[in-house]
Parts: sequence; structure tokens; C-alpha cells
Amino acid sequence: MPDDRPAPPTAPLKPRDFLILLALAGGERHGYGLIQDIRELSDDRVHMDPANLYRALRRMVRDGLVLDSGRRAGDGGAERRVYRLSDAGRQTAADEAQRLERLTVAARARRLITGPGVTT
Amino acid sequence: MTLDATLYAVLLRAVPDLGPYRADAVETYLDLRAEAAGRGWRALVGLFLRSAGLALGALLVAVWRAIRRVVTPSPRPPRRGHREPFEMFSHLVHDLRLALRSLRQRPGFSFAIVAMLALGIGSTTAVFSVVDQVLIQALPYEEPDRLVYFDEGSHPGPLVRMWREQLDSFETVAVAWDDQTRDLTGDGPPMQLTTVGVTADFLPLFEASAIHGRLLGPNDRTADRVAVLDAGLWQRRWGSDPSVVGSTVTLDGEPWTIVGVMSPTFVSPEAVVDRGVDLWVPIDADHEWLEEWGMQILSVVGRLAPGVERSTAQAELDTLAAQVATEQPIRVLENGEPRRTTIVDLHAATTEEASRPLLLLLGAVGLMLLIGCANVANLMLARGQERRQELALRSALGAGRGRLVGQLLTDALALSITGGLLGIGVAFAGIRIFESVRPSELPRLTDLTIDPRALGFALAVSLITGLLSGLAPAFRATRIRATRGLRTATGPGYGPRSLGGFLVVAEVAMALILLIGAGLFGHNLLKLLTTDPGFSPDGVVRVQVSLGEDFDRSGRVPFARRVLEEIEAIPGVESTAAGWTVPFDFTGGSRCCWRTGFRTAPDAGQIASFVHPVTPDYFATLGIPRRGRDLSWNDTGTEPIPAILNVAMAEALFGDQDPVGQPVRLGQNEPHQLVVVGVVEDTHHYGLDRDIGEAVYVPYAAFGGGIGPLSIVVRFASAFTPTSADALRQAVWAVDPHLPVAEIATLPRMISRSLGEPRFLSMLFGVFALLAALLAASGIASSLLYAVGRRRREMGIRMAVGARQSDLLALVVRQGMMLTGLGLLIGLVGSALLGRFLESLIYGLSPTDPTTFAVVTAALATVAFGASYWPARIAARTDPAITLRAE
Repeated sequence: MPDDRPAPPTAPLKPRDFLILLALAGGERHGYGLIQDIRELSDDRVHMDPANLYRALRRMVRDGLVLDSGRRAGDGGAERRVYRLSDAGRQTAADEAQRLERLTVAARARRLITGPGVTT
Repeated sequence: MTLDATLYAVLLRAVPDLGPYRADAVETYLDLRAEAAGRGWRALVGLFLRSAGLALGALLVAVWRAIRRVVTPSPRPPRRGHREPFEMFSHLVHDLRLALRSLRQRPGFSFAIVAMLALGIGSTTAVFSVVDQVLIQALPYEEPDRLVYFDEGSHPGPLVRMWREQLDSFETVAVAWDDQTRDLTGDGPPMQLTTVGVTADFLPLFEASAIHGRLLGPNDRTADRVAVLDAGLWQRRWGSDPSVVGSTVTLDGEPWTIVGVMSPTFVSPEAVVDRGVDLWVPIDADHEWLEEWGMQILSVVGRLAPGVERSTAQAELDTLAAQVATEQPIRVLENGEPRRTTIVDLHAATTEEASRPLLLLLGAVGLMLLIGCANVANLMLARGQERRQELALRSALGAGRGRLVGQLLTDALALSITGGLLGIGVAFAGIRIFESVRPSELPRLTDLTIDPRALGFALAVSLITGLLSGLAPAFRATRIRATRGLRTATGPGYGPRSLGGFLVVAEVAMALILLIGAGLFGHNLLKLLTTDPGFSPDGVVRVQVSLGEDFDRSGRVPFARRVLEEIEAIPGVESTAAGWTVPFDFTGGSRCCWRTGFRTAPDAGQIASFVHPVTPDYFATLGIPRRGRDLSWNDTGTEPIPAILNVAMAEALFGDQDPVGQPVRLGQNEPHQLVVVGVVEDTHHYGLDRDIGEAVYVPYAAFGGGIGPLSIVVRFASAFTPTSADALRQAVWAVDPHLPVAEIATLPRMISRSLGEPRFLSMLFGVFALLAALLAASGIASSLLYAVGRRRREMGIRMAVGARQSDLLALVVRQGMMLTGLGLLIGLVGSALLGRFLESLIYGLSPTDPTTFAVVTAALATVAFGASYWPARIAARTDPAITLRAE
């Protein structure tokens, strides 16, 4: 249990991976659900295709960020494989989200975007 | 699953890193598809393209990475989180790098193998190209399998009319009147144009189109004097000037209109009309000859109605033939049966004659390639033996046998594919060589190229070659018993029951078969070259003219006589004469012109024979020995008409009796009464490889006017120069300045040309057989050399205990000759069995001709002996001290 998880990568997460983790943060998903979610989260800009999605998922499962919950009957009735976030994955995603937030704050400070933030 | 989903699933197999989630990816695709279906077909297409495209992109990236790994000298240090390569790829990549490295380490070895394979694969690809373009590929017409040719050559007008009107099995029955010539005058030197008269539905059958003007239509009659020009002639004579369409040209002295120019891409149907057609004109349907049941003139080709089988059409034709036979006695055969016409698939009719020699060539070159493979296999066996330590080590370290075999196979494939790539270059060269030596009778070869089919063939052959050469040695080499220690991997021996021995025996057998084939062709060629043609060709020249349509029957004879008189006046001319045809005017498949039955009495049996109308001095000019009197210009037709028989005909009609003075009846319908006035020796009129057959010579003055073509022979006392040729032309033009003079050729040249095919076959077979023999010899030598190397220790011991050099010599030579002997035996049996395939191509020679067999076998045995002797000498030179110390 203890240290058989790989240490979280210090380099920034690939956007694709972050989106997947973010989507999973909302709960268990199957492949189709993930694609839909990602579409929504990215303002309909990222349309992931199954091949790339599953390659990423496979990698993240191997790295311990995502867990395979097995096959479950979905709402359409058909059985699909379902994924959920692992603790390490949740942590990694959270770290990344905070990194992005720091960047957003800096962007506001430099008047790149407007919105609630620290004003000097 | 839907089609696109299946496709997607297949594509995904090529994408790396999916592992067990491939099925899930397909399921997700189906979910996306269900959603897209709701948005319309455009969404579906978009989804597929996007998904497939991305999958392909992922694949390409993975392939690119794999290639970089092969090319990079050292592997990059693994990065954290890097992707592991696609499993199967990693093995293949690894093996390829090892293969390339081991090839570089043994450059001599690799070069020898690659060279042998390049030669073998290249020649096979070149021959395959020819076979493909001549025999395999369909005719370049629409629905070519519905096109059929009405066989037995030419058919009489009334019968053809019946076919066109009555046959229901055919959508089209089209007719061509071949073998015509028209003389073109004006705007240049007079030219004889090969002309074909056709029905309006003929050209469209072959997808003819006009690049200028139009083709012939159903309303064009001969009287309209319209013609379509061949593209080649248009280019040569009119410089591709489009204004020739609509213009008038003078043909046979009369004005004709050119209505169109045929497209240069038009492929003339070679089975139906001869090659080199210059002019297409409407068929002269009202010609008197087309009313005769006895005159076989027209070529017929048809397109079967949709859904009709050839057998049905044939049955309909046969019924018609039976019906006709009751009304026209000339359509009844000797045995009372009606005379049938067979319909043949047009492709088969076009390619039939060429198929046997070409397929034989393919077989020959294939055998040569197999011998090359066996050689390579032998070399790889030896190499495997050298690497036995390395292989044992890897096996001990855990490599499965499959992995090792895979690696050795990759070695072989790397060699064979390299050989194949170089072989493509060889194939290009081979094609050029073929073009320059091929006989002109080969059909359908307009531009011979190495096309994608040939390249695909080369690739396939390379792969098969690699597998053949590599598989058995790979299995052999990996037969490691690691328990007995790393030093005792078993290896190949060279006894008769071992793999190496088997390969040598196979090589010798195949080489012998090829050599015997080449020997038979060569022997055949020799026989033909030394066959007495029956006349003296040296110093004789043949001139062809055509006294075309503007001469009538009665005009031709005096014309011929005047031309001959003019020629006789040329200084240097010993004698001259003419006939419808002279010897070697027609060789190969065709014979011309008048063949009919002869009988001694009205109730006697008839003998069919060719009839040759000839002028006086014909036999003297050609040097044919004659007995009795010659024919003369005064023999103008008063019966009984004098005739001369050749020996064969004399014997057939009269047996031992002297034929001179005896009566003979010519023909059936309106028999002429002849009387025999002389006998001449037999001549090979239609080629050295044809039976002589019976012949009857009749006076030109009586019968010659019937057709236009005239073949004049001239015997020159001195050498024949271009000046003499000019003089001949001038002599003809002195009588008629507008008469085109076609080819002037010397008789020896005509004879030589007729031997084109036997010469071609002998040469190619000879080349392949020689190469095969060299390969087999080197195979024997290298395997013996190798075996000697392995048995060095044994040799050293033998010498140390007193064996003499000659004993060792004998030992090795005996081993080599035992294998050779077995191979020769198998080869002899094989040649005897395969001989029947050569039968139709060698004239007068048995396919199991003992002389050829004996000579060739002895030659190969000698070569094999030499190949065994050389390693034996090396073995005999072993110094026992050195050998034993080295072990």
C-alpha cells in the first residue's frame, strides 16, 4: 500500500490528462460520458476520440491516477467499463488546478483578464 | 456491428498502447455513433473521419518512433513515464537491427547472397511482367469475356451473312475483310497500305474512337470511298496534320475521302486482323467473291448476348452448320460430317500460340530462382552453424525457440528484401534485353514495362524467397540441446539424409532439368539451321508487289511478264520468276493461299494440296531440281493444263508409277483437267519446322491472274547491293510508275527470320540454364568446403595415422559425387516426365532425345566433379599438426 504509487510528476500535467481527471472528479464515468464531459468543460472545443482517450486512461491507470471500476450497466442499458479517480489522482488534479489558479491570478494582476482578484 | 465500426475496430489494431482497452474504445465509438446518428449522416461521416484520422495519426507517430529507434545507434535512456513500444514492434525492430548489423559484419557473405537473389528475383519479375502483359491481363476492351472469335480462320460470305441475320445468342456479329492492300499515290512515294474492310459494328466492339473526324458508320458503303486512317500512318505520312480529315487521297488510282483518324490508344484485335493496319474502310459487301460458298475470306468476331454462355452459342452455331450442310455440299467434310465452326474466347485466341513458350520460360526462370534459394539456404545453414555458440547462449538465457527462429528468419528476410529491391533494377534491365531479342510474333506487347503488378510480384517473391531460404536453416540452427553444454549445439551434416545434402541434390536435379531443356532447344535450333530447305537460297532476292484492284484478271499476266522481262535485263541478274507465294513468304502459323483437292479420276479419292501458280524459270531461279519440262507462258488455259508435282504429291497420287503424262483433276466445283509434265524435289515452302506436304505447280499464265499479290524471285550472279535493290524497283516502275514495291528481302534473311522463335527460346533457356549450372556448382563447392571445414579435426587425425593426400581427396570427391549422382538421377527422371511440355516447340526431335540427355548430363557431371575437386584439394592440403593443435 504505502509507497508503491509513483510520485506525482513534477512537470505540469498534459491538458488532456487534466481534463480527464477533472471530469472524473465529478464522479464515476464511462468512456462516452468522459468524452461528453470533456466537451462541456472545454466549451465544446476538445472532442476527444476513443483511441486517444483510452490510451491516456490506460496510462493513468498504470500510473495509479485512475481506477478501473469494472463493467457496469449504463443508463442506455449496455454494459460499459467505468472509471473513477484514485486518491493520488484526486491529489494530482487538485495540485494542477491550484497551479492553474495561481496562473489565473497572475493574469488578472497583469490586467490580462478582468475578474475578482488581488488588486494592488 | 456497422461497417464503419468494423473498419474502426480494424484500424485500432494498428494503434499502439491500447492494450486491453481496445474493445472499450470500440464501444465508446458506438456510443458516439448513436449520438451522431441523431444529428444526420454528415455527423456520422464526420465522426468516422475524425476518429479514424486520429487513430491513423497515432499509428504513424508510433511507427515513426519505432523507425527512429532502429536508426539510432544507441538506445535513449528511458525517461520517467515514457511509453513502452508496441510489443510486436519491439521484437521486429530489435531483430532488424541485429540483422543489419550481422549483415554488415559479413560483407562478402551478404553480398553473395544479395547478388544471387537479385539476379533470381529480377529475372523472374522480368519474365513475369511479360507473361502478365501477354497472357494474363484481360484484353483492353469493354467486357472482354463476352468477345469471341469464330475460329478456323476465314469464312465464306454467304455463311457469314447467315450468322449476322440468324444467330440469337449474339448481341453483335462483326466482320472484317483482312489482308487487303491499297496503293497510295501522290504527295510522296507510292506506298502500299494494309487495309481492312469492316462492318460498321466492328470497330465499336474494340472501343475504337477517332481523335479527329469520325469512325465508319452504318451508312458508309464501299462506293462512298471513305476511309479511317491509322494514327501511326497519319503521323508518319502527314506529320499529324489534322487537316487530312476531309481531304482526298488517291488509292488505287481513285479518289478516296479520309473521314477520320483512329486514336493512337486503339488496340487492334490481333487474333482477328493482322498487326499494322494502315486503313479502315467499309467492307465491300457487294463483291462477287462474297457470294461464293467456296471462298474463305472473312474474319468474324462476335459479342455474346448478355447472360448467354459460350456453349449455348456454340450449339446454335452447330445447328446452323448442320442445316447448311444439307443445302451446300461444299460445307460437308470428307467423312460426311457438316463443317463446324468453333467459337473461341477472344483472349484465348490471341494468346494461345504464345502461351506455351512463355509459360515454359516462366518455369525455367522459376527453377533458376529455386536453385538460388537452395544456395542461399545452404549458406544460411552454414552461417547458423557458425553462430551456434551465440544461439546456445541466448537459449540458455531464456530466449524461446520461437524468438530465435524469428531472428534468423528476419536475417533471411532482410537479405531477400534487399535482393528483391536490387532485383527490381535487374528486372528493368531484363525488360530492355527482352525487347531487343524477342520474336516479332509475340502478341500484345506494345510497351513492355514494369508496372505495379510486377512490383507487387517482386515483393511477394522476395518474401517467399526469404521464407524458403530461411525457415529450414532457422529451425535447424536452433535445434540446441543446452543441457549438453554450450559447445555442443548440433549442426548440419552433409550426408545424403541431411538438410544440406538434400539441398545440394535438389539443386543438381533442377539444374539438370533446365540444362536438358536448353539442350533440347539448342539441338532443335541446330537441326533447323542445318535442314536443307529444298532449294538454293544464296544469291536469291524476293520482291513483293501487289497488282491491286485496278488490274483485272486478264491484265495481271501480261503485266507480270513485262516486269520479269525488265528485271531480266538488269546486269547481274541470272534468272527471275514469280509466283503467288515463294518459299518462306509465310512461316509460323500462317499459310497462304490456294488449297484444294486433286484426284486422278472422277471417282478416285482426292488429295488436298496447296496450288502454286508460277511463271517459267521458277524452279531454275530457286535452284529446285526438276525432271520433265518446265511450265511456259503459252500454257494459257487450254485443257489439259500442264502441271508439275512435287515428289510428295507424286507419291501420294501415283505411288511408284511415273506421274509424267498422267491426268489429274483440280478442284471440286468446276474441275480443271490437268496433265503432269514434270516432277520437282520437295521444298520447305512454309518454314523449316513444318512438314513439307504435297504441292502442285500450275502455270501462272493460266491461273495467276486470280489474285493481286505477286512474289518475284531474282537470282543475282554477284553480290546483292542497295544499287541492285534500286535497279529492281526501277524495273517495276518502268512498267508502272505508280506501283508500290513492298519489301525487298534476300531469301537467306527470310529463312533466318523464320527461325526467330526457336532462336529466342534457345537463347533465353540457355542463359537461365547456364546460370543455374553455375549456381548449382557453387552450391556444391560451398557446401563441400564447409563440410571439409567442419571435419578438419577428423582430416587431421586421418593424416596423422597415415592416410595419404589422395585418400582425403577421394573421400571428399566421393561425397560430392554421391550427392551429384543422386541429383542427376532425379533430374533425368524429372526431365523425362516434363519433356512432353516441350513437344510442340521442338520439331522433329524427341523430348527424350538420348543424345541431348547424354551430352548434357555428362557436362553437368563434369562441372560437379570440378566443383567437388577444389574443396577436396583444400582438404588434402591440411597439415595434421596445425589442425590438431587448433582444436
